[in-house]
Amino acid sequence: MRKQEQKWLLLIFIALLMGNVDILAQGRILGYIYNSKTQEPVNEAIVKLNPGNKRFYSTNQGFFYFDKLKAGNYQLLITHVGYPDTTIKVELDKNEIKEFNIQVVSEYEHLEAVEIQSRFIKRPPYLQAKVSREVIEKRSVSDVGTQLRSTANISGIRKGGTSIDPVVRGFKFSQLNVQANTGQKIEGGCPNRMDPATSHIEIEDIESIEVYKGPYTFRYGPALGAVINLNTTQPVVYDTFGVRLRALKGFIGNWNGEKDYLAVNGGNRYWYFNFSGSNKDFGNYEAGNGKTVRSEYKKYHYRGQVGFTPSQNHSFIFSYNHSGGNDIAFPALPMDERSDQTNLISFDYKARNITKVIGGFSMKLYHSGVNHEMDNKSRPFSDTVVAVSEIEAMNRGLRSEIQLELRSSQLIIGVDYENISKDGERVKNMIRQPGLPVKREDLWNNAFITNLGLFGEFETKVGRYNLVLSTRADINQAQSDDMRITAPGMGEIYHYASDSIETMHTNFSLSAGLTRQFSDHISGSVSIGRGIRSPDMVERFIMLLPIGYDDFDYLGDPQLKPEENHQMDLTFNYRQKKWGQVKVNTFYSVVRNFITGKRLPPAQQMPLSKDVIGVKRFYNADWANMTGFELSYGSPLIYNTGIRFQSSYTYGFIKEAPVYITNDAGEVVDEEIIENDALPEIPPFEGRLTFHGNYIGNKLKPELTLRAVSAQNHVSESYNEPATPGFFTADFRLTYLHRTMLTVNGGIRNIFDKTYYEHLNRNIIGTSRPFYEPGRSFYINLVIDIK
Amino acid sequence: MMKYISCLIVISVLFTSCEKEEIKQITYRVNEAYTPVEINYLDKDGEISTVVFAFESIEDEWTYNFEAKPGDIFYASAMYSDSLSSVSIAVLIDDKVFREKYSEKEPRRYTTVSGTIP
Repeated sequence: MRKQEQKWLLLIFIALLMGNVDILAQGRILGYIYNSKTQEPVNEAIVKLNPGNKRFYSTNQGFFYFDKLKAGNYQLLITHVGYPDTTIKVELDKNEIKEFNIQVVSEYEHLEAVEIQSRFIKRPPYLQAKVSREVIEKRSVSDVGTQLRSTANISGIRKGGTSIDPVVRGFKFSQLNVQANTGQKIEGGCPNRMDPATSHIEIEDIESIEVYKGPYTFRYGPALGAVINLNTTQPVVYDTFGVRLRALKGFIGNWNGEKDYLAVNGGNRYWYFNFSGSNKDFGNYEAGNGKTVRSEYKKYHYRGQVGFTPSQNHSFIFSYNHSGGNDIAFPALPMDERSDQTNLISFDYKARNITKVIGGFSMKLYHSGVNHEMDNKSRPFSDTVVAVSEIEAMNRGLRSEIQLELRSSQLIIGVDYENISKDGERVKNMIRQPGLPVKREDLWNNAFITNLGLFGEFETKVGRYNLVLSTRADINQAQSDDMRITAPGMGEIYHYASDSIETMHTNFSLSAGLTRQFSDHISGSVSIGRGIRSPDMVERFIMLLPIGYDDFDYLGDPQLKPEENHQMDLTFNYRQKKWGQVKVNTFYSVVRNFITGKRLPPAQQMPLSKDVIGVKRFYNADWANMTGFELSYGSPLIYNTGIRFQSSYTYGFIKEAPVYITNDAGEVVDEEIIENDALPEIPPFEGRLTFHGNYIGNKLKPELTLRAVSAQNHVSESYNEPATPGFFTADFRLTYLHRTMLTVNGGIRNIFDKTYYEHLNRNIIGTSRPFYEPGRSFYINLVIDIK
Repeated sequence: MMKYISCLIVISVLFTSCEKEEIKQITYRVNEAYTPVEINYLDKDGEISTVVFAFESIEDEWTYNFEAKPGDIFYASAMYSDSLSSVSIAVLIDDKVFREKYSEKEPRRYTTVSGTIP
């Protein structure tokens, strides 16, 4: 047995000795806390239960929970800055489960009474997915992209063992607005998206992930396909000085991977802090066929936050986060990531209950800096040329909003600004040539984009109708120094003069959504939206790099027009306490000025990279269409055993696309235009069924997930995309809450050791070999939470 | 008390995960020549250095040592002018030959060993 595994078993053994199993008391008290005016969940409220002196900090969904309770009379005390203390008496019978929806009233409003009722809670009319830390910990995933792949109609593009790039309903890359803590944007350094924005936030620090599907909410910035908001843990306000420690140690068998995480937070009513750090070291994994897949990586991060609340309704938080990665293998790309150094800094000010009308004000200033270094040293071609690229990417900006409470309505207005800059070059060391000549090529040449936006979101409730209107206006400017590439002996092989590089777009986005509550159990929603996003750095300024799905060098076009998504969603929701919840959604989207690539004739532009068949330049195609559905069912949580089911499908095509005909040597010999070609990288139909349970006084929680994915035969001819076969996998998870401060969870992924790959996994570079997913993997985590 | 024991266990386990960066001893070695040889090599500062070493017998040897990290580039090349001469050039990592090339009767051609340190 390896030393590492021995250490693990010893750790678990010691931990298990520290407690005993109480299987007699199975009563539970749980519920949600909402602001009675806004219907927003109240998070980080302290919920105390007496007798027993138990304490729970409500989650981002306002959720709280106490278990293994004996029959008797209890008292719940809810305290939170900005709200008066609330006491609720609870009479609990043996093994009874009591659930509450608690409405609390802001301190500066007239306090009538605390309402406890199962009244209609406002829901946005468009689909949103929220994933909490509890769920993330249970699955023991190593990055945000992997976690998102378990959400309905969200897939991911895999190019390496980590940093999976999310795809929501077929929308990807800059069609998704990804940010941290409502407003902090991050610009990845790699033109090949080794480091999408989601990869710069450590999964262990995440409190919740919110996904808003469609071009409907514009509070978060321009939204075309979806908004992904990654909420990290925040310092907690304690009524008296307290410290809380949270630690995690995890091990994953197949990858020989190990991860550690430690977080300490504490403080009192006036000042508070939150410090955390993590370390991950993962090796290569074996696919189901026993073949080793290069997937190794090392990552670490540390984070510090300090907060100050000078008076009850005002708070300031300063955050600093540094994350790094080393030797991250990307076998589907021409290079591996050698080093990543990311600094995320933010300053937040929040005020609430300023006047009777001004319910809240918030302001965020941030700086996100990424230093990304990649090379081809682990590739066979490095015997001839060692290429090293280093890129500095920065996103700096601000976001501010004010919430106005207008009787039964709420109006949010605000402003956001971001400045994205990128600079970097590729250094080619010709190590076989005498004198070791070195060639330098610009990847970006002092390129920058600024975006200034004004937004407004109005929500009102009239009888059984809930109406949400959202809008924003953006002024987007972009500039770069000359785009120029020269090569020895060939002179200037590409030049785009800076006098016509500068562009400015003014974009207006708008959406409306209506929810009708037909009865206490049934509701229906319709949303219509037009979301616009300006072209990104790659689409505007990239210079002859093979960054696409196909074997072409890509060229940016500074004069691209913004992409517009016109979309409609219909959602039907049935919720019944005894039977559970069914949700059906269908969407239809037309993307005008769809940004994609078109080949340039060799006479106009020759490629620069090895093993590519030509050059494509980004252009605005007329339109593309995406349509699909999502269906989900969840049994009620009041039962000890339950099921969850979700299925989804997206069908995407483009009106007209060029198809390239190649000869045996791989040279393009002809070109033709075809109609209604499939869009590339659209996930196939999939269904997921999960059986779950809560046993032994809610201490033991097993879960079995079966996942069936169909073949994808609707593939892009224009991108020469291959069809992929369907597959079936099964995962098992088990969580054991030993004591309130100790949780052990573990599981088996891919129980039947299937050899399979997702449709969105890129092929191993230079081959037609698929990038297989891991074979059977065992994992175990130990979580210690000391309050 | 148990809280503190758990805390100590967790922290001690966490700190066992740290790794030191590996440093390797690199040696360029040129020999098996008996006429002057022009040697170009990437030195410890990352610069290309040139030296002409006057080999007089097959027993003579030129070496250069430095420390490097995995992933660093190594490069050394040798060229002789005499049409009947020879040269052997090697890169040793921690005193073990990692890459080696030999040239005989190939005047005014560079014999190069290069790559990245594994």
